[in-house]
Amino acid sequence: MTLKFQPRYFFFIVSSLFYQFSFAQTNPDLGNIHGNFQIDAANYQRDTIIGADPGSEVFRYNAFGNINYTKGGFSAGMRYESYNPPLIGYLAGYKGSGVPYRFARYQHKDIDITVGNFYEQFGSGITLRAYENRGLLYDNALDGMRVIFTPRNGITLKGLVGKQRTYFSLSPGVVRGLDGEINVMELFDTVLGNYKTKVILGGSFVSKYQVDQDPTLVLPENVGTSAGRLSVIRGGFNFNAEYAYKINDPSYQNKLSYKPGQAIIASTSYGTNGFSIMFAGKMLDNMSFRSDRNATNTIDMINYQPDLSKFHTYSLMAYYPYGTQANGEVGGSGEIQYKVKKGTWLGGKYGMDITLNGSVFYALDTTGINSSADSIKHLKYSTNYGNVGNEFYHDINIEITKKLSKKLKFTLMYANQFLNQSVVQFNTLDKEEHPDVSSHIGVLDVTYKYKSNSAIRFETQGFFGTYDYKEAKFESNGELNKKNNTGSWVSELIEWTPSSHWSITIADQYNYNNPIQAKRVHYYFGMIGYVNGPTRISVSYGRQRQGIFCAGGVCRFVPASSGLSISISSSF
Amino acid sequence: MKNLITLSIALILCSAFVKSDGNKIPSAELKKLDGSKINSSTFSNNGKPMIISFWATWCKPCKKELDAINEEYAELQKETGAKLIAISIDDARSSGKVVTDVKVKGWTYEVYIDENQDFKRAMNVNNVPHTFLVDGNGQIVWSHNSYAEGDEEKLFENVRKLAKGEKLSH
Amino acid sequence: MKKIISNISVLLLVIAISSSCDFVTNVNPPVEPSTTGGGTTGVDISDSTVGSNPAQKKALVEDYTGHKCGNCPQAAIVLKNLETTYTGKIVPLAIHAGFFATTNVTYPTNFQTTAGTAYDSQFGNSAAGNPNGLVNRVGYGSGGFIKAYTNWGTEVVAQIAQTPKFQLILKYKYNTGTLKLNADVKVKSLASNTGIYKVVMLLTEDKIVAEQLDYSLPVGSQTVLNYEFNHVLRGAINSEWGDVVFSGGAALNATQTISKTNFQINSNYVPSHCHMVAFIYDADPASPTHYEVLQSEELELK
Repeated sequence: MTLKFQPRYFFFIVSSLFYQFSFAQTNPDLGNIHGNFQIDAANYQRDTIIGADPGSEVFRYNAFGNINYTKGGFSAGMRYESYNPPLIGYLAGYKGSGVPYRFARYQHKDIDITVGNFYEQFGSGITLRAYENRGLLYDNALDGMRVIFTPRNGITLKGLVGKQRTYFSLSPGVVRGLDGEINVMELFDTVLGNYKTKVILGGSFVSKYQVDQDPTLVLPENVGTSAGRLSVIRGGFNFNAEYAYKINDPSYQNKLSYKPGQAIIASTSYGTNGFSIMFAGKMLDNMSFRSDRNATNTIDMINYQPDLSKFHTYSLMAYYPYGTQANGEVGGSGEIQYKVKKGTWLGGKYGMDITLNGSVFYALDTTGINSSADSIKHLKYSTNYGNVGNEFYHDINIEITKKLSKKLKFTLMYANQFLNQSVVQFNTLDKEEHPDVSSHIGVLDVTYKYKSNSAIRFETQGFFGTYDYKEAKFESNGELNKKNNTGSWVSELIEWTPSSHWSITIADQYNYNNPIQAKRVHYYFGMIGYVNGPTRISVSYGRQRQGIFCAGGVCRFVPASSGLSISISSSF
Repeated sequence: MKNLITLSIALILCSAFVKSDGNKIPSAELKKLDGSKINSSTFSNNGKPMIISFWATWCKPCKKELDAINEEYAELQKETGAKLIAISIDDARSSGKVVTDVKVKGWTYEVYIDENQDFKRAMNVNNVPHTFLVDGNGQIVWSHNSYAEGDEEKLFENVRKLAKGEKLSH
Repeated sequence: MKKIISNISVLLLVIAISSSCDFVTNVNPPVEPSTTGGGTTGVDISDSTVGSNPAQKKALVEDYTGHKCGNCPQAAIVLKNLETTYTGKIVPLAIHAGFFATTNVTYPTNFQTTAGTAYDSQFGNSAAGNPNGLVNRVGYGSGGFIKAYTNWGTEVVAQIAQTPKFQLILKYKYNTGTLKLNADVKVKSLASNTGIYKVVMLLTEDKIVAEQLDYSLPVGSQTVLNYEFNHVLRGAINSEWGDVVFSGGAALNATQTISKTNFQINSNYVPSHCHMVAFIYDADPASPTHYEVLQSEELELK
């Protein structure tokens, strides 16, 4: 079922809503109309030195607009999207325009019904998570019906059925889900209402149905995943754990393995004024769950396998990111935050914030099963949960933020990272093109607020990398054949905000010691931004280095690009 | 290209003629830090102004804004009776950090987690930080996207004006 | 009103719970007697003709692969199984293009071709991540154009059940000394077809022994030195995007022949391992079925 839509209809509906709205201004009982939109457009150019080649389509844009209507417990809305074609780095399958999202929802007392498209999450999302991330162009909304029922205070029941969004159409498989959550203290309010400790229990069951027309294999048409979860909260102490089990689900992603999947996700934290500590761990084994067993990339994913690594905003720290390994991994992360008090020697006049963070991930210890012994069951491999396999990634970093005076403050950050790039990002064991990367990265970020509403920020980053090609063989002129050994980088940025409306940014990333002389390139970048209330407009020009975008267990390669970009976003 | 022009015209007309002024806070389920649920339509402050600020633990400007407001929050509360409700849009990757960040920084705001991002969608937030000002009748009267050093002064000025019943500066 | 809502929720609950879980104990389906592929294939020594069964539409299955792609042997096995199950109804093609097909010290054999690289650039297969493929190139321009190898079986079943619009009759003659090949494709229209059509003739080779990376083997022995490559695209006999037939439309039973003379077979190839492949496709850029393969055929060289 395709949802192609003509922009003229959208325009007509919007203008007819204006008439309604003009009445609403004088008669508030007619409800509210509100919406938001964003357009990102770019005009690319060829830049052979950095390897940027946009092909024949140099003008590209991603655009969307939401319109919602709310009156009391009733709400309805839709979204129009257009990609002609999508910007470089986004899935080409999105090319086109239409209305992939429209819904009507009614909430009254203990019942909440939605028909049409909706987003939902059960627990941590390991059984089901339909969500959108417009910046990454990720959208696996469900199209069908959902009911949320709260029979009494402390019990929430959810039931849903639907197909998932696949570009501008729907997945071949149907998803059905049930979730129940009990807040023990709220439920037994009279007896336990005053307990300081809060306990929440939850369970979910999600199954998908997809027809099997394969002539050579018996594929299961109904595949279910179930999970149980527990949360304990008391004051500043927090503990969460969830366990999930999935029955046989052969797919393209897991290479047609019939092995059941399992996942454990747990986290615990304690926080008080000036100090906090947090640990989280996960074990995922064959938990990729899609509404189309043949789907690839980030399409038709029913669940969400969380990434526990730190989300870095400094570009050189985010250059070799980790992405959750959908077929299996084990690892964890930890963070300690400490606020050094004002008045102490280290804290100075305003205090100092220190954050220590670390994460590490390993492959599972798996043993392949010989295909001759596996012809009936097709399990493909077995897992030894008592041990771990190769290291995928680690990131140990420390961040110090201190205000020196009313006008001056700085952030100093250091990270030590390791990434098994070939496996994590490119799904290959071959190190010839994608060596293991170990790096030391440092950042100094200084902000000087010279007037009450004006500031200037300087940011310096350095990336010092070593690349390990392991057993890969090279031809006689070895060093120069080592691909993707980009050596070290340095990045400088100046951001000037003369008023609350304007900002100007100039930045440059320089690959100063690339072994290949010709590749010692400057990636320059400039941007002017304007903000007024809820509206933001920015124009930028420059070079974008090739990179990797990881989201929800899948990494996407983004080629280098160069050109002029415009971005407009607003809400009304 | 034709699509883009039609779309842009429609959207520009929308933002020119349709103002969010006067819209009430939409209804969405949010999670409290102790795990229990609360509905956004129940937000109220006894007729005093409310600030609703969308943030995330990974958003540096968001945390800068909330820290800057925190420095004058007690005074603002005494003067105007206004309160700030901070809505975190962190997902399962970082929602565990919301509690710890709030505790470490010693914020006294009401903090809720919008895990499914229903409230963010209902309030038509594109990206964070996005801050709204709600008057005593529960109507949204002002909003601002992004944060630059010193922006909190404009917010305080508008909160004070709202408390006195004066016209806001945009 | 409330009762209806409660009833709907209970109904949803029941639907979700009662949906069964399919636990599979034996992945292999029960063996059924195979239906003969059909088709009249008469073969002459060094001068052969093949007429595709006019009632049978064949599926051109293209496997985009590379010798450095460790996940690709899985796809080759799937294609081989399909050929066995649907003998005479599948025209297989292995296209080595993109990053995994480039050569290095361990994998020095070059399977890349101008035609294969042209197809890969146009359709975006290696960019989407190998292995993957196309079945009769259905759905160009849509998100589902490129097919995961787990989906080839289902797509083949759908394609071969359709009524063919064209019949292809192949003929070749080559000289074992000069290795020059003359190839003809006679196209017969089985219905009144209006549109723009082009015919492509390709040369493929079987039984090539070279290195291939295979991740299904234990770590340390994943480079297979004597892997057998089959139906590898060696080049286009006329041109990769083909020659126009039936310009102005094809009436029922109209025929037209496309010829290519003196195509040079590379001396490194073993002619008796080669096949001539031909297919006719929708070449109208304005058509919603642009690039779709409407009929295909293959003929072994003796």
